[in-house]
Amino acid sequence: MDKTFVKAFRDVVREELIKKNIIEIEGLGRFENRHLKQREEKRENGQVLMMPPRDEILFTPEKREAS
Amino acid sequence: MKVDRNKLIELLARKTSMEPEDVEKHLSDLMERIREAAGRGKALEIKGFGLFYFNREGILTFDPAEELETEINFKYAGMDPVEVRKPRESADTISDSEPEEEEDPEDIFGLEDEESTLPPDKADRDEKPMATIFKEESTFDLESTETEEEPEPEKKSSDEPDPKRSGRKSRKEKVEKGTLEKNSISTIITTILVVILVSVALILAWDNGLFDFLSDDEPYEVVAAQEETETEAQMPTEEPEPVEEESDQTDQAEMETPQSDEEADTGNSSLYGLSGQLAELEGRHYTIVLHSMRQQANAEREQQYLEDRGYRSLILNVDHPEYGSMWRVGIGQFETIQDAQEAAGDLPTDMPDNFFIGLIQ
Repeated sequence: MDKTFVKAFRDVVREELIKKNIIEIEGLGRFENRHLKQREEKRENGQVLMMPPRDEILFTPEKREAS
Repeated sequence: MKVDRNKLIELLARKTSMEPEDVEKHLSDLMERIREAAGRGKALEIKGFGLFYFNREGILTFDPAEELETEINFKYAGMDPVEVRKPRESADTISDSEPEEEEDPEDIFGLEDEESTLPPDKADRDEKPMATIFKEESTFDLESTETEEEPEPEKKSSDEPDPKRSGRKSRKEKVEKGTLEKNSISTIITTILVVILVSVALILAWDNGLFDFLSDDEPYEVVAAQEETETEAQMPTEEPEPVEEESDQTDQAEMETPQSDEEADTGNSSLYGLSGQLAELEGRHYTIVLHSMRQQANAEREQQYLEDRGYRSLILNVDHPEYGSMWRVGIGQFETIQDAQEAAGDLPTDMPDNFFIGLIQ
């Protein structure tokens, strides 16, 4: 396994994710960048917080994975 | 846009200057590696990217590395939760649903020998299965990045924060710690704080002739420390034009009817709103941040664009230790978060929808 290749793979997927692109790799799954809007969060103690927005990476494995 | 396998190969070929055929071979190889390692109940980590493994249901799972999560979130760097309403002032303020709370005191008192007091098996488990990998300096030894231990999800949830959630968790913890300390110092400080804030608000309100507002609005309380430093950022570089008063009394009239339709009164001089001219506001207020940029020039261009369209627009400069100077372009000035959110809902569809509300002080 070529290290430069793995590095390139990582960088490319990273760059595409930052660009909000969806990366779908046959045989593996799909990566996407999901945006979570800022939202209010209520705590049990009555405190209400405004949570800042964030992006998160969502990975969905390919279907046949479930076997 | 969607990047499929072919597109990915193309991008990879460009990056590595390899032949597409070679790239394809390598890619299949890598896929094979991931499945094979995961199939053996191991996790395969690509450093700086994330961890692949099969979870208990046998579903391939990917936990993004912290670097990756941070990187895609750079726009929101330095944003911390803002307290909208204070916790109730009672003994049960510490929610018992959070197990982290119990561990905090130990951290605070710095129990060094914590490890030795633990039963050996617990101590072992406390060591993150991936800890060694994360520390490893050699960037890309795939062989050694295969963990010997299967990362069992249930173990993780009890002994360590799920890496996927860690970002959010740590933020939460920060806030909770704050709450904890506050409580331990007793409600006296809170009371004093409230009194001070209220009197400051009163003075400010009096100065601005805003006294009417106070009656129906409790002033907001304590904000996470970082948010405050962030929003200390100055108002736009170009001085906001002082509010033009058409006649002496207009201003007063405007203030008594802050609910007047903000969309309609372009060019009018109400203190808050989406459109019109920037008002010189003292005290806390909010803006809808539409863009977060690294280049000042870009931010200024966006601001100019918004101004040309008749919106109030301002630039916030935020210094971040990791990402340097960030330029945030805000639209509108609002008295409360709720107002800002309401207005944000009315923004034209061609504006970014990943806005967030920023605090200006």
